[in-house]
Amino acid sequence: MSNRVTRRAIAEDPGPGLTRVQLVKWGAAAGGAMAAGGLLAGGLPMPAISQPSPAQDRQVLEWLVQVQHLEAGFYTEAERRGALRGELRELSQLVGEQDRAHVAALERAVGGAGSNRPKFDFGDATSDPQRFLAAALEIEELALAAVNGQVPNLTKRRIVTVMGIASVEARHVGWVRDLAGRNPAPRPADVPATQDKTRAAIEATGFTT
Amino acid sequence: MESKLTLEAVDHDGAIAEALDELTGGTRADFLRKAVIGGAATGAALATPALAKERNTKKDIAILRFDLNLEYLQAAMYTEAERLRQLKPRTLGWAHVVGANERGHVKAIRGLLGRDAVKSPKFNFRGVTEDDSVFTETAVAFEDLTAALLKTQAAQVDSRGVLAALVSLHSVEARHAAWIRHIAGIVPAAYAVDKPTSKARVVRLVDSTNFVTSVPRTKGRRRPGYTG
Repeated sequence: MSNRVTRRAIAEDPGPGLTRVQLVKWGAAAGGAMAAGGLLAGGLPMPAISQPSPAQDRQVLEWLVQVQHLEAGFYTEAERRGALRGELRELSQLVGEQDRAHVAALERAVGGAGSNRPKFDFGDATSDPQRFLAAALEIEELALAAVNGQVPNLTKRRIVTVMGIASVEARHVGWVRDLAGRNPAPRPADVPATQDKTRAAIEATGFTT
Repeated sequence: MESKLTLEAVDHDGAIAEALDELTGGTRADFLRKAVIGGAATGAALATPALAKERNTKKDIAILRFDLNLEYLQAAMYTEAERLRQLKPRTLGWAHVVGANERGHVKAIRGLLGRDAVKSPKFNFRGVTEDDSVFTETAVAFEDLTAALLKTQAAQVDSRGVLAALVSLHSVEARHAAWIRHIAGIVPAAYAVDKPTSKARVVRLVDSTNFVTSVPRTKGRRRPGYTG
């Protein structure tokens, strides 16, 4: 499998998308639009944090497995249906492979696969290029916020691994957003999400069954 | 999934020489280490845990100062590129947005450090901000390595609040990295799980660029925070 990204924008891509108007808007947005909720000194968002413990690690990692199943399921189905072309196809293959690796890594960390694997119905979001890109953007953003929200709840031995996953989620977001002609990094700090907020965001995708 | 792209691979014109395993100890090499030493030397008043509640520990100050210097460097480089307008449109768009984000990071980290914040070093980007391909390669290296460094630091910091701050900056650096890689036609996400990197590796990268021309003093700027 090739992991090279073609330079050429795909047909659905609106193009670089960096009009002067967008640039000005993004410039204005950067620095504003911080988290609702807690703020640290320096204006950085502060997630809900509870005292780390091995038991809490387990709960957190099992929760993140659930989130990763949404992503892995989405890309795996897109690959199976085989309707995407060009860079979208490359993206669905590579990102799918990486998100499946996240599921496996997190399951290894908790000592095995959980029994309740969530089921999803993605409709034509895994075959229609425009809908695929929109859904990928939504799913990647919510997964990144979910992982970011949990890192401060982990014991030190789990932090580097889970940040290694957060980092790749953020890369996926950046890639998808650039392909969609959207600013890949619209804020200087990413806003983390609690488990409740992430559950609501997953519900809002309409992919849960 | 392995990618061929490494720092060595992007360094085909020598802007980021990998041959800097042995640090030469010049001004540039000193730039980040000085900040760290300064942090350790001035943080003694913070040692008592009871007093440290609202304060950063010595270790956290050292880490945040290191990051502040890195953010100064990136913000200055991208801001200069934006001002000179010699890059291709997509790269220039990247510099515009990412420059604003890095300036936001400077502000945020200065806020976390309070009176322990250090001033910006002076920089000379030696034409890199006017050359699209060299700028892009350098930006890829900086963004990838900054994201990698923040992982290492996240497991080191004492304060959960500082940890939360690093987490929310970290993923923005990774977005930047993916975006500039996409512009360069390199795979945006080369690994399933990104690895951490050491501070020494980042110091070597910065040193190799020769971008830092002077380091402000960090000694003696801080009064004891608690005089009992």
